[in-house]
Amino acid sequence: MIKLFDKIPGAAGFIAVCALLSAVSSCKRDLGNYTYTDLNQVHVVSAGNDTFSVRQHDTLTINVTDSQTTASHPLSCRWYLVQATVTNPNPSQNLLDTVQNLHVPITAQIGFYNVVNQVTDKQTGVSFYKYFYLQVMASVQAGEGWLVLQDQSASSGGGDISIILSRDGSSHGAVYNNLYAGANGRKLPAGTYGMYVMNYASTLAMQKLVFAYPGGGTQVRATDYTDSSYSSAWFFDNTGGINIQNNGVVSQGQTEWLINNNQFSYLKVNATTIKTPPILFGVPVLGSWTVSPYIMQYSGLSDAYCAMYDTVHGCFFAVNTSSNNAMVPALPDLPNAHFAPYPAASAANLLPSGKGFDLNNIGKSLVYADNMQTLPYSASSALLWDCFFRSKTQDSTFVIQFPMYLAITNNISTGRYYLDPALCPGINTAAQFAVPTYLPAPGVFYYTNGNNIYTCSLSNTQGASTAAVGYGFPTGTIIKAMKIFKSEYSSPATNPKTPLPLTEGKVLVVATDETAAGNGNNVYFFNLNASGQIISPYADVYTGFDKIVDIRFKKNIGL
Amino acid sequence: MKNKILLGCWVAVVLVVSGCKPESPMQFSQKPALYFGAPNLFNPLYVSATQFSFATYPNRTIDTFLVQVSLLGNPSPKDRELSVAVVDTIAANATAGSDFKLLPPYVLPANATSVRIPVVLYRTPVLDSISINFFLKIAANENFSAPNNSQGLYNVQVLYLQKPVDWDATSTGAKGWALANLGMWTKTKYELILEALYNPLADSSISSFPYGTNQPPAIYTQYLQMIHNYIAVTYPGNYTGKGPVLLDPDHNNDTIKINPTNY
Repeated sequence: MIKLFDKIPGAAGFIAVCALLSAVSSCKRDLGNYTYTDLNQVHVVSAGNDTFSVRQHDTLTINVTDSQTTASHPLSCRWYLVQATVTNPNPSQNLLDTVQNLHVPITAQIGFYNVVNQVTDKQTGVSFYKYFYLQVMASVQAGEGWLVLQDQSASSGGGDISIILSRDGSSHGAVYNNLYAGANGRKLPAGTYGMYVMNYASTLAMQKLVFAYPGGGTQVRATDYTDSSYSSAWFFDNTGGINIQNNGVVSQGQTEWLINNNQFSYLKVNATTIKTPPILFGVPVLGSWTVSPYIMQYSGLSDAYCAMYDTVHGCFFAVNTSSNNAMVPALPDLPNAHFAPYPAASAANLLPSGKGFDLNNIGKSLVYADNMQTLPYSASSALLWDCFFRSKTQDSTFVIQFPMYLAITNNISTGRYYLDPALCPGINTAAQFAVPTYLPAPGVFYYTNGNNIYTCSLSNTQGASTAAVGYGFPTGTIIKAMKIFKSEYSSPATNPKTPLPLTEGKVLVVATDETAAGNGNNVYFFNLNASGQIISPYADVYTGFDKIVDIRFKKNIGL
Repeated sequence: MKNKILLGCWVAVVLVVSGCKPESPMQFSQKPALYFGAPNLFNPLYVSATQFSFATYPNRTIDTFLVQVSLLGNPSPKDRELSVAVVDTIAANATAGSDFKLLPPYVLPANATSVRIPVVLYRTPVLDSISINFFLKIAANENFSAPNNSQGLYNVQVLYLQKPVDWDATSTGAKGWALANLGMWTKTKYELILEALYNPLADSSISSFPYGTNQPPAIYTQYLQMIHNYIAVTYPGNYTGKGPVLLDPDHNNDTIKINPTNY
């Protein structure tokens, strides 16, 4: 080192001077007397609202004004479409545009989103963000309304659907006809008898629409009614042929069931399974039973629990589809013994004067079942299903309010209501039933016989339930279908974006064939009063349909 | 001094020139060899070991098993005959000719680097009770030499109505899916399962239920229901007490029930 400095004397001096300068400058006191300039801020102001709704494939227009606080710097703009729920993925249509005013078609799937306008000051490089709220809705004819399945075999050799764009008849909506043929260029097969609309968890933004006809079924896309799949591709293992008797999923559930040839199959639709399509119906859950096409499913997170009725042995049974289809309770699969025997001490409940019922021995035919509480069901207790039973000789009819829950004990002491034909005219030959969801048990139900709709008030006194004509159509009218408006929207507590309609469960929708009186085929909307009586006259009517087969409510997808 | 520098330069030149002499690459001049390239699936003593279960094909009494033989060396523009022999070892309990049969002559085709050679397997009555083992080796001939290590040995185990290795426990030691859901293995129950899961289109059944460190495959739930349905339809008495019944002589003549499983 010393030698190096000897040979290069200038180096040592230079280093010493640098060190000295550094030392002196570092000791200089910071007086803090800087001159600050305010950052140029950009404010984005929309020309209208900050909340937008647009139908899928329509154009979203958002005009904004960018104002700057201190200067007129050049700006750059970027518009993004992002998820509104943190746990959802961003849509594939992510960067919308890079201009100041947005004007782009929205192709993202139906649901809620945030639109983010990022404005960057090119001079300072600082970005400012403005959020807009966007709801993407289905196209008009795939929106919310009542689907009307019609038999057009007389005119075109097949079937087709129309949609009435009104949920409850409170406002008169447009009607779009021939939606299936418009999308597919041909009619539904002749004899199409079933139409099923299934709504899974709203976050999935999925809706399934299925048609059943002799020997097969067709699934169509719920957003445009184009064919999506055929029943030959629905099953993991189907060797018994296709004879679809019912298809459903409890509102916002994941366990979708299908009754085919009196056999129960199911599939699971959730955020995991939809990643690996196709989701197939599993092997039918066979046992000692012959399944009735009505499934009493529990709601909420435990919709895996499905109760069914064995039409041959006349008894209830339940399985848990999330546990290898284990029997609930865990008893051997023996007919009329799927539950512990009804307690002998309570046998009086089973007498004609009592109101109890033995789940192992109903012994009658289940002709209809429907939920009598609002779905999706949020309470932690049994979900009541009104099950309509008729004797095999068609001479007596009962309602049994089946309490579906995760554990079912066979000592039910109330819930059986005998319907005396002297007090409930025509009940033994009633064609359709409907159950409202806003009344406490036992509540009321509606049935049709001939050209009349009857309102039956269930009485806590056995045999005292009475019915009266709630509405009479002209003589010769055939009532083809009758449904209660059950929207399947979430309750306000769980999803404030989509509150339950005020008219939930309080509207009766009836399809008629009045061609005998020269009035064509019509769909009526009736309001129901606080005690369940039909308010006359009807709230609205839609006319001009072909021969109606069935009606179903189709909720907005993703809500 | 100058001469020394000059000498040093000459030495350097000579070294540089000699260092530039091209070196001939080493030529592979040995006789080509053959080896079995199959993975070892069950027998750690052998590099190549395979199990074949007639249970997967319940309708077959004879089948052809293809053994992969790979080339170590250069391909040839013409076909070359290769030789595979049976190893005479105490671990082997199969009889050539009755339990299995080689089909010589085997040929490595022209320009090929591997070939799958057929070995005929017979489902003999002995397979109803025990598995059989045989061992193959590459034999040297005029075309190929045999490797002098275990790459030239192949253990083939033939099974039929024996408990699959993964029935009771997975390879990681976890409880096997089959034990948990199908219960204790017995020969009669196993035959029933093979019948229940038989796929007539593929002419095959499901003979084992392995799974790794993840959850068992979701399709196993379907298998479980298929077996249940098969019993419920074919032997309804097993569940309801009415109709045909299948008893298990291997387990106290109990009725066989799956999902839920009674033993």
